[in-house]
Amino acid sequence: MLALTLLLCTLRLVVMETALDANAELIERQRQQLLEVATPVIKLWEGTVAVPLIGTLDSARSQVVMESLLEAIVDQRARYAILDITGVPTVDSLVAQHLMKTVAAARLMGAECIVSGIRPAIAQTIVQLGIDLGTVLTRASLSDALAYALSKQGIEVSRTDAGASAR
Amino acid sequence: MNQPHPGHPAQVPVLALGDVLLVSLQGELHDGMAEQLQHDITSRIATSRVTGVVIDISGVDMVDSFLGRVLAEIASTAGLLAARTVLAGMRPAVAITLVELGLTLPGLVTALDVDRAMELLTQRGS
Repeated sequence: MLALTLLLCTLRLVVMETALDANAELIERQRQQLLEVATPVIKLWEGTVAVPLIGTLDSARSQVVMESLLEAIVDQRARYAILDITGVPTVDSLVAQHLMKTVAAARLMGAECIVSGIRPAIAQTIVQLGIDLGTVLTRASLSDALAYALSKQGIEVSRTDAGASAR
Repeated sequence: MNQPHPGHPAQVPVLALGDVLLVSLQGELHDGMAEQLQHDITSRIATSRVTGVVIDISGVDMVDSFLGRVLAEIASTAGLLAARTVLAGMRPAVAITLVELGLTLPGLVTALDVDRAMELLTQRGS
């Protein structure tokens, strides 16, 4: 009787451990996927790339962002890189530091970096925390940043007559 | 001090392309070579009509604080002699390492590659 109970207990333990392992594996895999999926580098225009950042920016993620951005700058031969932080819920001194590091690295590669999409609340937090983003070029929205990059490259976007009459 | 290391040339070649000096760094740069290079560049700028210096570091795997300082010194020396210095061809891994070390080389103008660097110099020159 005792032997049977022991056997059953051991079996239950094994089953539970297997389930836990599987769960941990799943979580790890999803974390990896999140890292990869959440940081796409988009080519906005010839010579302009953008990274829309979504979610909290921690050290691991900012490392991935920096690496993929620099790779994209080399691949696309980009002169301008836009970091859009519209989807970043909070900016503390650590996140600001990550941003500044990314901007500095992009500059070393010969690309100018623009940070866009700083929401009013975040702007207030940054000022209240006394973080100096003076060395970083900022624009209110992604479109403003793109407009800046285009005008710096001498590209002009205008409405044609055909487009206006179609409306 | 000026002892050449085996397998490494004792001197970094400085090429003249019109009124631009082109320096291509390969591998490691030793103390003696760095000093020699600084001297070469400065005397070349002083004796000929050079308006720009392009330093290509695409063949460099690692930039430490020493090389960072040498590059900054070359840039400011050239600046004193009215020549602009552009650092070209930094690899992504090198850029990340430099930033992690806190060496952002604020005084240096950078470009993606030598082509872009030349473009930058001619554009601003005209």
